[in-house]
Amino acid sequence: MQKVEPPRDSFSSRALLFVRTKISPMTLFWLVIVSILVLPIILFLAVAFSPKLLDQGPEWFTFNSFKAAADPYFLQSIWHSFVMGVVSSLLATAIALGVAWIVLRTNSAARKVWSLAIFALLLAPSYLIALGWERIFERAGVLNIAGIDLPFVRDLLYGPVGIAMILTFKGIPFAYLVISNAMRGLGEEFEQAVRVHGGSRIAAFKMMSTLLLPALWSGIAIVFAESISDFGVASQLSSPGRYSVATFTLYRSVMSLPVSFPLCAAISIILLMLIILALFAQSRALRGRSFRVLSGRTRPITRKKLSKTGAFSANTAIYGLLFVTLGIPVFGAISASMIQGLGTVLANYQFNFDNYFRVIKSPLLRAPLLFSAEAALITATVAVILAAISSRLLVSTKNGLGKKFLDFFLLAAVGLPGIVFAIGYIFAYNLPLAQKYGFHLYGTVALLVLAYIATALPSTTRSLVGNMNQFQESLSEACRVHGSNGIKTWLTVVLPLISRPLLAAWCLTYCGTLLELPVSQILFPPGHAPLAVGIDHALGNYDFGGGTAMEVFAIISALLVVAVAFGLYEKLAPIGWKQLGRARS
Amino acid sequence: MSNGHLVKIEDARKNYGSLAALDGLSLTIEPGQFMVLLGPSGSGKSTLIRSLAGIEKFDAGSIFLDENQVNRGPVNVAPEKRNLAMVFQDYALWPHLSAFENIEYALQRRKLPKDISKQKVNAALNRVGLSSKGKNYPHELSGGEQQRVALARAIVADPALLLFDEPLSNLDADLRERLRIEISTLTREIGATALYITHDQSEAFALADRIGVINHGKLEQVDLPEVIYERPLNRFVANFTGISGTFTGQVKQVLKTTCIVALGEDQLEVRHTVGLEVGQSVDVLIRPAATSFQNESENRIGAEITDIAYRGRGYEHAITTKYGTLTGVFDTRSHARGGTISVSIDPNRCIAFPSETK
Amino acid sequence: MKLSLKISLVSVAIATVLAGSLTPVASAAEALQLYAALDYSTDVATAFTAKTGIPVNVTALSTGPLLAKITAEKNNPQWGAYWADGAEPCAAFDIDKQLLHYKPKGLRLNAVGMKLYPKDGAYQVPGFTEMVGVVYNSAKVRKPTSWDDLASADFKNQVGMNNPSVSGPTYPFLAGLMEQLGSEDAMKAYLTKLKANGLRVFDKNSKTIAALNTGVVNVALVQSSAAITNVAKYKASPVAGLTPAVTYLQKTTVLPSCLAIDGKASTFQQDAAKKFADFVMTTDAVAIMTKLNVGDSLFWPTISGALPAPATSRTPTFASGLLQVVDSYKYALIQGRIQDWFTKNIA
Repeated sequence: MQKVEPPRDSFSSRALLFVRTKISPMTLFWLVIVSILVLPIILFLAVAFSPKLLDQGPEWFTFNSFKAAADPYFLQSIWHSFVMGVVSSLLATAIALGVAWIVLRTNSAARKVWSLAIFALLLAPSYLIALGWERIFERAGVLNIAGIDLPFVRDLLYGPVGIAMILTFKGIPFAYLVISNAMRGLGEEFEQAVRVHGGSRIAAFKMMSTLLLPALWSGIAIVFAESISDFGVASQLSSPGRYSVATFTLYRSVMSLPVSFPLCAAISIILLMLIILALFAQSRALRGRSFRVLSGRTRPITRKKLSKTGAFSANTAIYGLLFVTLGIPVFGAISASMIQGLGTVLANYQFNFDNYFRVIKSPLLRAPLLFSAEAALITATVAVILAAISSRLLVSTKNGLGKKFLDFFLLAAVGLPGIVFAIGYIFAYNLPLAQKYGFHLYGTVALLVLAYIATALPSTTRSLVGNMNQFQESLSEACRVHGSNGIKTWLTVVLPLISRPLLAAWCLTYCGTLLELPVSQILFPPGHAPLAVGIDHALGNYDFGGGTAMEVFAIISALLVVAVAFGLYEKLAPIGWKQLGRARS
Repeated sequence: MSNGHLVKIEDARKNYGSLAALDGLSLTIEPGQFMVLLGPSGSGKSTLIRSLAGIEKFDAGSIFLDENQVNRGPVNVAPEKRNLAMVFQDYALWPHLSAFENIEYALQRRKLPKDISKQKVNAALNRVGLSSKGKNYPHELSGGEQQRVALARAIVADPALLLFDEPLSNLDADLRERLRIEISTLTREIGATALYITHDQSEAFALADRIGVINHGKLEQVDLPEVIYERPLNRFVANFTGISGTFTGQVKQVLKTTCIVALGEDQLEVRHTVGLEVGQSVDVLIRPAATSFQNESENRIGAEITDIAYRGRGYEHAITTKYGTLTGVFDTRSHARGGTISVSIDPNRCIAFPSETK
Repeated sequence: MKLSLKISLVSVAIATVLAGSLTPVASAAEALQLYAALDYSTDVATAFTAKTGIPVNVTALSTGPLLAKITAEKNNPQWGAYWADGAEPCAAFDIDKQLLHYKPKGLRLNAVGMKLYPKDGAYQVPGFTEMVGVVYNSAKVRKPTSWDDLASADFKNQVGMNNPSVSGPTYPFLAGLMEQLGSEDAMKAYLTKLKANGLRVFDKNSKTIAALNTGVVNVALVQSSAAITNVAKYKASPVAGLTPAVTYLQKTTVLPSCLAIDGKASTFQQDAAKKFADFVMTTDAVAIMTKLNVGDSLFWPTISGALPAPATSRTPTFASGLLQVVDSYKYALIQGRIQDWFTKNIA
């Protein structure tokens, strides 16, 4: 019979027990979180109050930066950001809910296309999407060349409507991932209960939406935070005078001499408060309810068979959405990369692949692509593990300080545009004291990867929160009482049960990191330019065709990696993993 | 000769905010004993069993498994090191593993060679009557089947302590009884010590070697089922372990183990377990087993039949007397609703307690 | 767990570790950290390393991110040398006492070079371009003759310029206007007039040029090097409706390219930077810089005896009387305020 190990009595053993308890896996986790997430954010925000702390000004404590930020121009740009955030988050979540229902609950033929296309939409950075639209509608853009001129559309595009539209498109995949993961874990018994008690299909849909509230709110919060911190779209589509948003103001305050990080930090703090509002709203909406519905008793869904008109509407909706969100920018990007002399008013245009041939040999593409691919691989793997732990923490009922702490910093990391987050890294990892003790990370590949992980962590975490919310605690308790320790429980039960969402999160992180620009710009080690920096360089040298061709290559390579990842999963994962949330159809 | 732990819980305390879930509770379970904790929801039984499992912690107090203390203050021996197993109310089968794999998982800690392990798992499946369902996943099994898999999972590794967290409450009535028998026999077969919590008193009485009645984090009474039933120490225990009805009256005379209580025009001889005085106002708690239509005894009251329910073996009647209603009055013959009848009360199966001040 | 799954998990783990270890780490040997916004910087750095054996790590970005990094590193500077167009940032650094003053050995400057060289060698000026080259589509508009001309009816809604907050080379253009028109207010009045006449603002050279090429504007006020490059491109392959030509107005402001050494850097960095400055301020280095004959290569060298790239001859020299030099120190002090005003009122 197995003996139970008691806690020992002697002092040395007590000390050992203390040490053993302290350096648990969770301690390691917190150490990582503090170093890559908390420290850079705190140091950056601190200069708003204490510029002298990092030699950014004469005062040790002042509110001057906030006074400067209260300038009506800045305040207006913050208001614009807020409006963009609200509009895009609500629209994106609503659309994503509808799409998720069609894809997961019906037998619409479009669903397979959507599942593939979602990744293309996810991995395209917002500035690329904006670029695609631009290439089509701009003067001497693709449409113009084809003889079509739409000045009205052009004007809309280069303003709040265009910005909101693209932020919505960009937000749909985030919201979709969160909602679809949650919907998969939702057995149909709840909707059936509505139907057998006399409720209509719509009432059943409403019931399902209510049960999905945590995921819906998660979606809204993610898209809101991503939208107000987005820089790519705003910089592409609006010169600051026309419709300035906070991120553009931030960018300007960082990129122009004299650089004022204190002002930048003050504006960031105000942006963060907006995000805290979103978080607060989310928790109020979800207070006290139980949404834990994923368990061994969850039965797979039977797909709804759509009628002819139903099928037609559903398919049209999906294909239409894909055409608008993906088709147009892709068409823009590809056609732009195939037209010789784009960006000019050349009379005769040649459509060919010259740009592609030129670019594939270019050092501006190959080395950066490989570098970024490696970095993205590492980032995705580490970030997903950290995100799984974080998301579990965020949904635990034990309402510790750690949970609130993590929640805030994850949100702060989203709310802070990449460029200021990167500056925070310089503050944190270029401290003279640290260097004295031989601890020098600034300027290394390692720091860049750490920054990538930190940038990816928030959205990856939130994309897993929906699933973790549905995970019944008793499943892991059952592991513990049947002989598995914490780590084994994770490896054998927790992770397998969210294996598909984990895979999706991995792919999402890979793609996002591959084409990441702002952090890459600030932190890349000399001689190792990441992909987006290389593309940016080409575009800066008036090589629109070549630059766009590089973008297309990059995206194709990312899609290949995603396809391989999913293929491996389908081939190698045990049946038990794959059947979770699978519909019977 | 049992393989079970000796379980000792001393002065357990646990607060959730200002609410005391456990209030200085102490309990001993002998090796191989089947202890049932009976109590209403919120009484603290869940907290106790989960702390015993190691998935929750006491604020103060200690737990000993055999001679080993498994907790000291905030430091806890991890659940996986306590050599126990648990059956959960919601079955907690892992959805991504088949029935076979679910059971096999629990056996991994014994680190047996693969073929022996396989044998044991199949034996466990067989034992719960599911040998053909090994490959099925939880969502392909009915509720009863799932709970049987959970049971097989719990016993397969021959743990020294088996914990049951209201495992039958999600099952329908006929399944419940069958599974209860499985639990009872299997546990005793492997000789583990068992702690079972429930709010269902009939379940408790059917299963237990000993029952502990728990309320507001305190143990009201721990004893053999018969003793609990016949000599409840206080009103709560009596009420919670099956009462047909309650009459209020005044003590006329106090005898050694019984007393005479005046109820308006009638009087009844009833037991008492606490000291009573003449003239004291008392509530008489009457067990269903105390009631009978057949026996001719001095302890009798007139009543009117208000409801009758057929139970297969006979009929249970609900009757109304001048002093209150009584339910569960059994007879092999049926007596029609609305009829009058005289019901006799066995003094040994009803107890008088001082009236509660309103 | 299934065996195949175990294998794949292990291989992913190994791949991740390998990827991490195969990624090249910063070399053990110390190198000069050069922050540069000029295309030819990498070529010059390579030649420097070949000559002296000192390795150079070039961080090649546009001026904005470079300045952001330098400012962020303020409490522990990592950069050894900064090299970009525009003297105001260097002047600002010098006012902040951040630079190492240095006069390269055997420095021989031509007449212009001596005019542009800052006091005590606060920074090096290997060459200069001009702000602005006025590129106009001669197929659509006539040649502008003066700054006021640009605000006339002929050029209504035709003119585009860069945003000084984003484009490094552009603030000197505003500084030049202040210098020429006599005051800050006069410059503001002029730009306000332009704005009322339909002035469009674009982020940087490439975007303003693109606007000209696509007909969004017909006059582009850009850096001279960008101007010539665009004109040359269309001379080589002519297009109906687009015939860019460039003119320079009275006055056109000199835009020095500046190489500054970090006074707070380590001894190694400072020594290496000094040697780098020695190398850059030679005719050999200028030859490397001008090799490509497009873009950044189109500057007037300040080193005695150094030859400009052939295409540069199309930009005016001091002899033409069109050029003016501004006091970068004076204008560095008000840069923030001016750029702020520009963003709120003109952009």
